[in-house]
Amino acid sequence: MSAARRVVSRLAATVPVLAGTAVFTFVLTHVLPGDPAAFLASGPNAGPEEIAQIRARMGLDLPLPTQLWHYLQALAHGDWGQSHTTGQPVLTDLWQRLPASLELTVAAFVLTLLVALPLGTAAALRPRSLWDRACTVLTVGGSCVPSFVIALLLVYVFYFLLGWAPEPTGRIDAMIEPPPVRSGFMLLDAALALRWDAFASAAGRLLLPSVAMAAFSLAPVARLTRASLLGVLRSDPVRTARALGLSPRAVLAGALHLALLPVVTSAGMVFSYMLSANVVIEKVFAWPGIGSYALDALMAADHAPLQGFVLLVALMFVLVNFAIDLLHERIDPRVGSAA
Amino acid sequence: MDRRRFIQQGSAAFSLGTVAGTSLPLSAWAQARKDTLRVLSEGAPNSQDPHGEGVSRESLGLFFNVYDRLVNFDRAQLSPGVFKYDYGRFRGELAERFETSADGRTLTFFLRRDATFHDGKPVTAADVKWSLDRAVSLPASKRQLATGSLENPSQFTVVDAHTFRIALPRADRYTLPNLALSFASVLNSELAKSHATAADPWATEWVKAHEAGGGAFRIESFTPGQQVVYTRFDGWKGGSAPQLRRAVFQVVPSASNRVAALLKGDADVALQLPPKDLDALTDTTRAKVVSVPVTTSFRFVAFNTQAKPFDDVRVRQAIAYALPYTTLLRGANLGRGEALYGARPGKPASSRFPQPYPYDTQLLKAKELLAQAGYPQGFKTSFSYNVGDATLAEPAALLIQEALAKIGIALSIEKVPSAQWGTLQTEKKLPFFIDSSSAWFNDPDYFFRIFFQGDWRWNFGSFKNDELAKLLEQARWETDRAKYDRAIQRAIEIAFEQVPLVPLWLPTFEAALQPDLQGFTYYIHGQVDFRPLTRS
Repeated sequence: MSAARRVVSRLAATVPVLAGTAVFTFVLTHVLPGDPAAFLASGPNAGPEEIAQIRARMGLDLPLPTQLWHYLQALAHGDWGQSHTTGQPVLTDLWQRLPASLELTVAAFVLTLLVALPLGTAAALRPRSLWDRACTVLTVGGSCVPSFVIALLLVYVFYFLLGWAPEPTGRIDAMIEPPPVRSGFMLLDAALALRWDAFASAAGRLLLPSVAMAAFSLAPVARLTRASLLGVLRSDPVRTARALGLSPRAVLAGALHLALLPVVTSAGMVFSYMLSANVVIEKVFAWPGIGSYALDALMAADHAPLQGFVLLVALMFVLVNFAIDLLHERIDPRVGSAA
Repeated sequence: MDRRRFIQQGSAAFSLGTVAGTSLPLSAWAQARKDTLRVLSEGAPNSQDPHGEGVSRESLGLFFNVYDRLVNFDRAQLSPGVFKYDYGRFRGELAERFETSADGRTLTFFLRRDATFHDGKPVTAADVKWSLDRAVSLPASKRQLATGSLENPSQFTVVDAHTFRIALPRADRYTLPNLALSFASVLNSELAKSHATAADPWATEWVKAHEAGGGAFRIESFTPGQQVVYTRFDGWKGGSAPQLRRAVFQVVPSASNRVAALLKGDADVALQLPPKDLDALTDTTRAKVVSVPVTTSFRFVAFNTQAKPFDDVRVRQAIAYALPYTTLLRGANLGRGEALYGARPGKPASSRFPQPYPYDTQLLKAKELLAQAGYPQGFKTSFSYNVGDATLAEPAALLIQEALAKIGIALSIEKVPSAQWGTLQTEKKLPFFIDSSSAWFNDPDYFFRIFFQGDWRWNFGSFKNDELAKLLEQARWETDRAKYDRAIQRAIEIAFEQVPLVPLWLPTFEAALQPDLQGFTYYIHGQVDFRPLTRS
């Protein structure tokens, strides 16, 4: 099978996944107890007639299958529904907020890789050394302490006590005029507009949340790097290479290549997970991302944003997995030919 | 200048410059900061339409700063630098003055001749009429304005460009207070109409995301759910020009971060702080806490008076005698509120409401009443609270569970997600719960009509009483103060005796401010009014 055909068939395989997600989240949000109409009509003067009126206007009085049909039809036309908490179309909201989440996730992910890969490698090369112990402490600590505790602790120490970090609110200082929106990525937009004050402010505000997020995503990547590399170092090819007298540097390079496959898989999973699970971090740092958007929607019985969020995250998962598959083929040609 | 001072000033300038990170010259930055008010809150405005549906509480603050009404409540000083609206006195906002006819059925408003909207168009009586027509046509504002006999567009007449008349079927003391609410905001009718469509004649879709006002502040940027930036409208004529040039209203969900930003001087006002943070702030000089009792609200425990076992008045009284009031107020709310219990038994002291009920923790009496009602061994039921209210309701629920166990009532505590709370209350599915609520106006007959009668969510106890209904109908239109007081005192007696719900305390509105902020005014909407705020 040619590479192009493989890509097409893999892309086609994602369609049922996404369709299933759309139906599933629709049903899930509609069986949730909590009536959006009653929530909307919670002003101090709303009576039963208002609630009935709102329900009719939102189409909530129709039978569930009809509502689902309307939802899917709208979805097919690119209409993801309307949020009643923000008063905007869901797609607009998500489109405005996704770059914020992505920027934070990518920053945290890069930080994770920068720390976890060298740490895991060092721990595997020198088992039971100080590096290995440090790796264990960091991974166990990072995965045991809830991320919001780490976040609040960071805020308390670095903002409140020491004053090194900027105020943990949003993506940029409210007193600074934000750079014109081009990509939605604050750092990129600031750099494009040559607004270095905005760039510095945005970078400063990115620091604490990405450290807090990296603290919990560090553990799986570092541990897997260590375990994978340990396994490879004990494997036959590496032993043979050593016996043949290859230089330690060459041996390590080969071993790292071999150990990469499971690490890439887990890193991909961690990235997808970070994107959807950074709700708590976004809340603590008042970060205007998709996670806090979904949480607010959940609190307000606002169904459309919730469905939109799940669908978007499913889309991201699919894309990331797809990218990982492609990467696998690059790393290990056997993967492609087997498929 | 000696060397030490030079170094100090130099380093101060340096640190400021780096913190700000701006390209502005330092003095300009400091000036910009001084003229800007930064408010941190838990929620955010979600609409710019004062007649909109499903608007958040924070939107009310936006309506007051961005739109003018014909009249507003005057204010009275509570303590140095802190004011509260005065429900009984009105002052003109768009109206220079107004007249009430002898029979009270005609109100004539004389508009300021120099007032303009943000786009420079003069404010005319036609704008006022269009806005009030819109208000009584859209459901959310319609229902509220009806409580002040404002129901039909035919009541509103344009006399000339600057004279506007309202005709009432009968004199109504709730008309003026309703006109001072955000529901009676005046919109730029031409601007709004230019965005109306056949399907949406009132341009609700457009106004939701675009202000059409003429108030003291205009909106520079509006990000729903995140932040709103206001700038002063220098052409405002509705009152004395505000000192602040700019205001930034931002959402910071974590209360501890709101406090930290206030203490570090990065924010000026922090709202919706939990009692423990407020207590901590009371001891510092880096912030001041404003506390204003909200006399139109109450925190209470309610039960479904239409279902067993709470349909028996003796069971309700037993619970009113068994609740651990003082422990609740101190333990769950750290004493922040005015007690609504422990009055001397007998007749109500005044016609004010809410007022303290003649109940206190007396377990023996409670047990006796339960036995008389046929529950000598007590009973089992569930006790619910809203998860969104957990900071206060969770400890309160545990204290109530412990206290009622002493008279044999076993409670299972149910945490209800916020999204579901409204549904369960509307459908009357909660047997026993804790909540708080508030009405727009403080008159006792208004308060009673909302909370103690009717088949709707706000009658939390699902209470029905014919005598009460008659008394309230009589008090609604009573103009003789003595007769009104007599009817209301009898109504309060019924509430004391029948216990449709058990009030616990009167909540306080609380905000933490930078110590140099003066003129903070608590208005009926419980949001920050930027107009009177000054920095000393």
